[in-house]
Amino acid sequence: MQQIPAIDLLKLPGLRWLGRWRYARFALQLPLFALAMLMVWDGLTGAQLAPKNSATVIVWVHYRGFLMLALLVVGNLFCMACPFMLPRNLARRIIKPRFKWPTWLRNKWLAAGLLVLFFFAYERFDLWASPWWTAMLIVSYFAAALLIDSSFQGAPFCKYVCPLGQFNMLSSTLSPIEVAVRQPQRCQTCATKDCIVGRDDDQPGCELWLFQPKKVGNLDCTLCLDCIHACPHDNIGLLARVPGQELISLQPRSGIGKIEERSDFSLLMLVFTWGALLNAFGMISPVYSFYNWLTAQFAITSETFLLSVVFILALVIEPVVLLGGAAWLFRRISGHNERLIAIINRFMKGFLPIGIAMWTAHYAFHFIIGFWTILPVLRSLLAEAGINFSWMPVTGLSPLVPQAMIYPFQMGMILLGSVLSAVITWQTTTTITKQRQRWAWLPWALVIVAMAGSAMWLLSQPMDMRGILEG
Amino acid sequence: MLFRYGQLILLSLIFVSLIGCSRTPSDDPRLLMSLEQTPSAMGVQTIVLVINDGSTPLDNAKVQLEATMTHAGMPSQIVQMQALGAGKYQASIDFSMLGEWVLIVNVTEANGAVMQRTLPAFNIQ
Repeated sequence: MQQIPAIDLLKLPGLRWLGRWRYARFALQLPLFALAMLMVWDGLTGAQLAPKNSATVIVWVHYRGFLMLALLVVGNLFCMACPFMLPRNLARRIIKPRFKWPTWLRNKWLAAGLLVLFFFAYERFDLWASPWWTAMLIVSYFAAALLIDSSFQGAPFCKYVCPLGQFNMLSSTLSPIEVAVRQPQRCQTCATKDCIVGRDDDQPGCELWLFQPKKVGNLDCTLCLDCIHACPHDNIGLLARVPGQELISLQPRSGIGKIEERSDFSLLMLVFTWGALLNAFGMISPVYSFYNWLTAQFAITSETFLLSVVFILALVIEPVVLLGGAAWLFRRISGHNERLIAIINRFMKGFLPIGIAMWTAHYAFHFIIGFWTILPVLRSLLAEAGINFSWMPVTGLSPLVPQAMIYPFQMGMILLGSVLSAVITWQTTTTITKQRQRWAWLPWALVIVAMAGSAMWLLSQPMDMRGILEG
Repeated sequence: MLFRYGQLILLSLIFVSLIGCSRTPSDDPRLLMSLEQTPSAMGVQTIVLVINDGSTPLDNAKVQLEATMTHAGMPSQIVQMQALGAGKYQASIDFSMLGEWVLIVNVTEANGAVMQRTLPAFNIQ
């Protein structure tokens, strides 16, 4: 019999309403929706200097940092309170989607492509420096969620499209909580399966098609609470767990299958992990030296071309060489006879922790340094509304914690991520082969060392933020 | 159905009108401002700003200089500039990070008129 976990967030005083009140998610979405509307309005009509506009400050400084910290300390809170789902949910009260999401799109290929596209657009259009583009990005999210989920049944936008959601769900593999069944034996006698099919009183079940008794971990879970509200036995909770435990599990996952056998998931994880290094590379001086070198070699100054070269190197050539090389050596050493791509698929999840660590180290830097930069923006917005907050400081704003603590924190994150990656790849090695396990694991360990070294080097470089002027 | 389309069109119109709006006042074209030398290196640098009202040097004004980066997340530095005469004003700014910086000048003239100008962005390398 499975042991009942000790901590269930929904049983803690002050949080029980989340599980009991049907409109709990709606209540969480409303403030973020209002904030999103404020950012769209300010982004489109306000000062077009990024530090002076709430759209750019909140999205690129506060949201990203808070997102990563929330994912690691609690769970996928942003998806839980996702404002993009609010108009979509309201629209569904009027429009019942008629179509089924095409079978050929029921995978992560599109999401992986959109994640690459998002990273590319971020660099190409200098989103961090443009309130207008940031606002348009928010509007695009609202429009896409509304359009897709008004046309197709279920929640295809969250499951197959939303790059942000994929980012959050991959990161939430290291979260300390998950939506899970409280007492598995009770599900064995359940005949209605409301957690997946929903109830007649208009309470939907899981629209991402995760059947609770067979659900493993946080992948594809948006913490929407639908299954919790649908379960007539009050048998689903927000349970504490060991972060990263699901990356060791080899069980088939409800609504997903075995991620170790899915190349689309591998690509998504690759883009996420190597994208973390690439995104940080775009913010330091050597990238401009590299652009200059490329320009000298090819006599092409087009930023799109230069960026494409960097993206191909970082997201195609480097991972192919590292992962392909490690898989080839693994096969040679262990005598394992699967194809290289199948071996990479098995090991890919092992690299998630170092990717998550890099995103956290990077975003936490901006969050800590720039936390108080919201004050001048807030003061200015309040002044426009006729509220005088002139006591609010606009200059001399210190980081959230002493600056000397940031770099050690970043190094600690990378080391922690590396250790977790090493543990997971070791576990994968010992599961796949009984032959020369330590030697067979070594190539993967070397990839982790290379990635950790790259991450530490990137974080040790002075930041160099250019956008509008380029070069 | 017609009602739903009507709502959509109304929302689109509101959105398009938002794109066309701007809440920020445009720069006052009367004042001409230029830097004697555009900063280009990291560290503390002296900024000398030349302000002319048409062809006449603007003296006896209170000039406040705000230095910030073009991306969000870096705190601004705001300093009061010292008048040097002949329309020149001076202040020191610590360019503490590589990348694009921008200077925002707030001028309060002797007659109480207030105006703001954002100078073109430049790179600190």
